[in-house]
Amino acid sequence: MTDKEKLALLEDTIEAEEGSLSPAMELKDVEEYDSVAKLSIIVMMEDEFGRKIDSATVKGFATVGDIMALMSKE
Amino acid sequence: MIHTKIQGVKIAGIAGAVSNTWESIEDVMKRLDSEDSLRLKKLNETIGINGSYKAGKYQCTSDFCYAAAKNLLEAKGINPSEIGVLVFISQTPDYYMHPATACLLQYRLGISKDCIAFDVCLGCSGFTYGLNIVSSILKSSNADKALLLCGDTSARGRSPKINTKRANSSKYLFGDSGTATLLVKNEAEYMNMISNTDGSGYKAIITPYGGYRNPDPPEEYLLIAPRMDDIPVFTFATRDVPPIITDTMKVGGFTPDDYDCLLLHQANLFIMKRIAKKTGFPLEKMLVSIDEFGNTSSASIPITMVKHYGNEKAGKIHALACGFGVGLSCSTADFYFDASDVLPLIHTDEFFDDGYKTID
Repeated sequence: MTDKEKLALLEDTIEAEEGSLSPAMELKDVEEYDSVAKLSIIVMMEDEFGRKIDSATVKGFATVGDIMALMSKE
Repeated sequence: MIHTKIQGVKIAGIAGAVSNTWESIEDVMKRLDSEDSLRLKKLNETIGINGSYKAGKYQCTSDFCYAAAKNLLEAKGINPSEIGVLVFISQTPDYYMHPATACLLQYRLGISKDCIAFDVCLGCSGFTYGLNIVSSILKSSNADKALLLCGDTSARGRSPKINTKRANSSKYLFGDSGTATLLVKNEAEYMNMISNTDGSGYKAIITPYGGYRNPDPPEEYLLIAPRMDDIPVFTFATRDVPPIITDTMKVGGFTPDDYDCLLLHQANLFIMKRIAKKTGFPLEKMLVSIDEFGNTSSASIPITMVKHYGNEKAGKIHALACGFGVGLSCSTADFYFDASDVLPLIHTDEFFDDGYKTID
């Protein structure tokens, strides 16, 4: 999956506007990154990549790029 | 896997009670500024609450359970003296320490002194656990009839603040209610139950202050308030719970096609849909009450039965129920019941005056 595809999937997952995210963006500045978005990312990681991420991993996400780094098959 | 099979106990009646005060999500939104109001609207698209019933200022869980039990006994033509077992399951008892609320309910309901009565401190898994406990006692005692009283007033005492950026334990998520389930000896019926506990997740839903461990909250906490870390709760509910449901089907030799309904704890719609998907249940079989009642904790499964079957006249229903949450704790129950044994929803604003409160 290319970075562009990952960004598109992430935008779709957290219901952010198409093209609104970039890898360097800090999540604290992403308005859509709320508690439901975090749960949606957990589901996306599990369904798309078979990856079971835990609470500590989610809490460790600081940038969009941190999430993208885990968007691959384990 | 801890599997309990009870042959010879039947669910013979279900009733649920709430107040007359129903607060809509729009009412909650009106109290917020426009930004928070929009955030809540978005959050709630996932959670699925249209509103919930709130207890009156002096109403306790036991008041709702009392109303439910009283109506149930009357409707079934049962004299209170026939009840030999009374178990009250709640995390919002009348008193922090003692006495057990079950003892007061034995007295208030006019049940004979020849009665086993005690409290169990469980939340979301309370009803299914209660079926296991009460039916086991019925089987091993000379009692013929039992009352399982489950409920919570989780909305009372919670902060009305909405915080959508982090773990959310807001008042708006919860509804207040109490239920009563009548269990009787009946050789033809059986229940299959599986119980599961993961205490390593004790912090996921916790009220850390106010008990014996930490009696006094730090100054920055104005309330002895519950808190919830939603990610561990979510991962427990969507990863650990589905295999327990699947195992319950397996021990009975059933598939989702064999059930009329899936009765899940009403945690939130997002979690419930995911569990249904992972266990192969079509969404039409997953009954929902969170829309009207919010998360009603230990009452959520019987309240769901009341919402969907409370006005049905007949029909044998095969149900698979699963309560999961605080503990972390999970338990399932595979059972049959007759829709005509489920009473319509009861409304009450009454409360018990124990002689200690100063009423406005």
